[in-house]
Amino acid sequence: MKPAVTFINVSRYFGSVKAVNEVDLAIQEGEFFAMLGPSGSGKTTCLRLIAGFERPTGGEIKILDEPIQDIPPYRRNVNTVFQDYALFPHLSVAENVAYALMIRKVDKKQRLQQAEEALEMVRLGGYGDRRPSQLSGGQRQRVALARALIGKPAVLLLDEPLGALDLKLREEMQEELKQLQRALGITFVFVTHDQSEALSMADRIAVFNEGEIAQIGTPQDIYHRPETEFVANFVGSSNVLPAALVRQMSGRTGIASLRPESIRVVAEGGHTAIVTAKSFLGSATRLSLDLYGAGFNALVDNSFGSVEIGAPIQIDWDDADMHLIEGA
Amino acid sequence: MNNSANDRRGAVISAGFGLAGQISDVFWRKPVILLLLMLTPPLLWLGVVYIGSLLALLAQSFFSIDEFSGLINYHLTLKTYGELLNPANLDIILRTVLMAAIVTLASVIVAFPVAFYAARYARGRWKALFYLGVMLPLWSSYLVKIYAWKLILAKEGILNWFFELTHLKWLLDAYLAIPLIGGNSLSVSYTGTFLVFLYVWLPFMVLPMQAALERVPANFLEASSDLGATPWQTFRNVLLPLALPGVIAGSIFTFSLTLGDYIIPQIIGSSRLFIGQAVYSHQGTAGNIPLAAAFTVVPVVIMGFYLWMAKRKGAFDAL
Amino acid sequence: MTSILKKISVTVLASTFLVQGAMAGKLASLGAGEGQVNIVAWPGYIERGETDAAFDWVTKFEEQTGCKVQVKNANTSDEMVALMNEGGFDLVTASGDASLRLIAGKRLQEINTDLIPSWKDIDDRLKDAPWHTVDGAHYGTPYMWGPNVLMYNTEVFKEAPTSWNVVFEEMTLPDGKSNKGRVQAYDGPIHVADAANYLMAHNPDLGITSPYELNPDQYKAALDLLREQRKLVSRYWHDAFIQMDDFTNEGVVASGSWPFQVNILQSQGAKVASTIPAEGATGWADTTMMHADSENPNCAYMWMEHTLSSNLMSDLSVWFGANPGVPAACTDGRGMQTAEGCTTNGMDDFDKIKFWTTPVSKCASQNDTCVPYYRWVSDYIGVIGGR
Repeated sequence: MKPAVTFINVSRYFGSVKAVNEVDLAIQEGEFFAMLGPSGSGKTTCLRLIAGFERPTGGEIKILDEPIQDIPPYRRNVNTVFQDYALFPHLSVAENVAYALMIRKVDKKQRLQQAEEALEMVRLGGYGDRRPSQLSGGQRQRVALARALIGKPAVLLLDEPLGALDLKLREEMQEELKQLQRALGITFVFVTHDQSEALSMADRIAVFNEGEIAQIGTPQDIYHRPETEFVANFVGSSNVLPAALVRQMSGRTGIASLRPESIRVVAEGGHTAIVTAKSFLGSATRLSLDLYGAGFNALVDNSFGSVEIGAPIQIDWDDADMHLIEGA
Repeated sequence: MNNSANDRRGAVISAGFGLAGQISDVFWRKPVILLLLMLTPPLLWLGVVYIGSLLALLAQSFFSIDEFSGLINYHLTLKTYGELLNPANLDIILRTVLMAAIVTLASVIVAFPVAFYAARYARGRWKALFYLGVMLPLWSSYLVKIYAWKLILAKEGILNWFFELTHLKWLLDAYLAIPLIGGNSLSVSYTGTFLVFLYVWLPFMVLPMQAALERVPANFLEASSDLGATPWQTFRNVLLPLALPGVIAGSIFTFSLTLGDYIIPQIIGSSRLFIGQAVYSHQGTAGNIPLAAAFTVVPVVIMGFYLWMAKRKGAFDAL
Repeated sequence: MTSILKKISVTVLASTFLVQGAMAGKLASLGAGEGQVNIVAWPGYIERGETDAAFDWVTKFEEQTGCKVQVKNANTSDEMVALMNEGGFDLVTASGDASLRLIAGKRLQEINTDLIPSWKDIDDRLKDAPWHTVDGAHYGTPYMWGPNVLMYNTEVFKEAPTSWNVVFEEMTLPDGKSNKGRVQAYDGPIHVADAANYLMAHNPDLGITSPYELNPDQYKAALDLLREQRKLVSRYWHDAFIQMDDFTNEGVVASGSWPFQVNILQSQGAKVASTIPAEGATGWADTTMMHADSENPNCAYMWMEHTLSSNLMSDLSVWFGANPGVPAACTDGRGMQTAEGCTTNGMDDFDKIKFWTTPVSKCASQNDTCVPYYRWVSDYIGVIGGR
């Protein structure tokens, strides 16, 4: 298996702002790859570098082993699903989907037929004659997908593709995207700031922070074995235990992460914490706790009974769930 | 007492706005009254003064002038419109329409890069400079601009001097030798008239175009490029269709302003009349108001036809 | 049926002309001034030193008579007629085409020349001019007049051209180059009269007796001449200042013009001069005329006297490049004008000038078959357009 996208020491600076700083990256063919990070972390700039909308200040970018930093976007076999879909308002849905074919001068009948097939693939058969403005957000999203896939790109780039959808639709689309990617075998690179989306969909995740990659790995790696304090905090909002507390509890050195769902409420024998806030989430309850002067998040099931804000509570966890962060 | 009913009321409804306040309250409850009050004067103005005079004009064009006495004959007739088809009058109409069309086309071509740069790239100070640069010609007197152009284009003017300085005078002479668009000097040729029209009306094309281009999201262009379109294909298939309402708006300005102008061709050009000048001379001492009115109806009809065509071609679909 | 209608309208027209003889009587004696006088005038005709402090012929009048002068400028003869029809004015500086219309429309009153002491000083050639005298009754005091001269470049023409042919026929000028593209003509239908005037001298068989009264054949000949002229002219002139610019920047060397342009160009040191060629020239003459319903007749009479007796005509003659209606204004030093200046303006060429009147179809010299002015307009447009 050869890499679909390779970054070798790639940088992109905007004046003095280092949007992307000396990034090395290899995305495998057929992979569903997520770029995760807060806004301004450089993940979208990386996507735009692959698409060709930005040119690197330094370094080398390869797609399927071809250096492409001097190739304009319209000659790269890479397509993009834009955050707000960027459907052309003056064209019908079918014309939007067939746009790439029209540009390649495919004859009209054939390209409209292919567009209809692509629309059926995203379960929008028969919608070709409508205008984009007549569709719902989820439908537009799928039109954008069909439009990007009709040219059979080597890599499909998705920029926050589900960001504008409501929760229920988003979960549906996550499943659909995964199935589509598996069925087509095309490399998907998608950018998101939503860690649960990245964790549930991606084969591998790159976590971005301040223009650099903080960690690359499988969702399990990223979630359970964060390599930096930033990753631990950003992915799943882990509790980070200060070094003093870690030494006191386990005798090990360094800081450690502890997932909120690893914390249990016990009747006695645990650590005493003060409840500072609570919110009922339906299937569970989130508690904000004060433990030895440090703030803690706990996600506990509803069986622990009732608790008042300001009241003390006993909590505990398995030592194995405490993940020591190296190098800290 | 704090708890008295009156104090409680004051806490909910603030009082003391006086008569003006009460009037505002009435407007708030019945917005239609405010709308009527605001719209009646301009509607009256438009209705009586504008539409009224337009109708009077239209009516005049159906009268005719008595060949014998030169007096106006107040019987409805199409004779005056028939006169428009005289070779000399037809010349004037064709000349004007052709000039207006060429000026419009040229302003689209010249304005597009300017408007595109301003809409896409200019920021902050450069944007202010752009607006200043485009608007500046509009602030100085129209006549001053035209006289300045006369000095530029004259036989012993700036442009000629420049051509002589660069030893390119033969080029200018060769151009001026071309029949129809050439002439004794640029300032007495159709080319001169065209250049001045283009200069004077250009801002009216740049501004609506820039507004239209600014409304085209940048990622439409990226999406098009991403789907394999070269910059030219993107321009043709995405940018132009989406900017078309702005282009049409601008062309309505440049086209109708050129159709109606009677000062530029009088100062720069070969003295061959344009519609505006024909209207001016017929309604003056000649007293041929019917023919002048018939001439003024021509641009109205042409503009109506133009808008109808533009609508049919879908120029307003993206609005 | 139509012929009956025509007869009726002719009768109606005739009776209007008859009625004018029985107009309200003229003023018998002068009283005290009413404190104001309202005048419709050509732009530049009535100056109070606001454009140029040296040119003021109003302030002193106001001081002496207590009549405040209020001026309404009009740019065309039609505007003048319209303003006078509206009313509210006492006087108008009407040109030859407007004056008879105003008299026929009963907008003017006969003036009593006995109430104007300086009437005797008026140029004898103007005293009874037909554009302000009807059946021996005077409707105003002559104001200014001027010829449409031939302006030429003195470097090209060492001697003044003796014929208008330099602007009508293609020829080689004294500098050895063709006149093509180097001459101009007036961009107004009245220029047809200049062509007719030229034909009057060079083609007597046509039988033209007045350039303003042309039967269809004579008219056609004039248009044909103008079509030839079109080939020589790059741009017709319309605005006096543009013509001056064309003489300095466009290489124009000869054109019909006004003394006004000649004076200004000479004052700027341009190498131009003017002449009235052998064929004579067309020209204009204006008259101060009094509204039938003038509310300030005493001030109006005082103003008319003022125009004839003060520095007005002398200074205006310099200002406008025109000739005063009172010859003494050229010579007696009442203002800035001198005898030489008046000569430049064409004072001695009165007899060579055919003063402008509106062509109408009813004309004495051609048995009422003349081509009316509105046809001049449309046809001249065609000529300039290349038809």
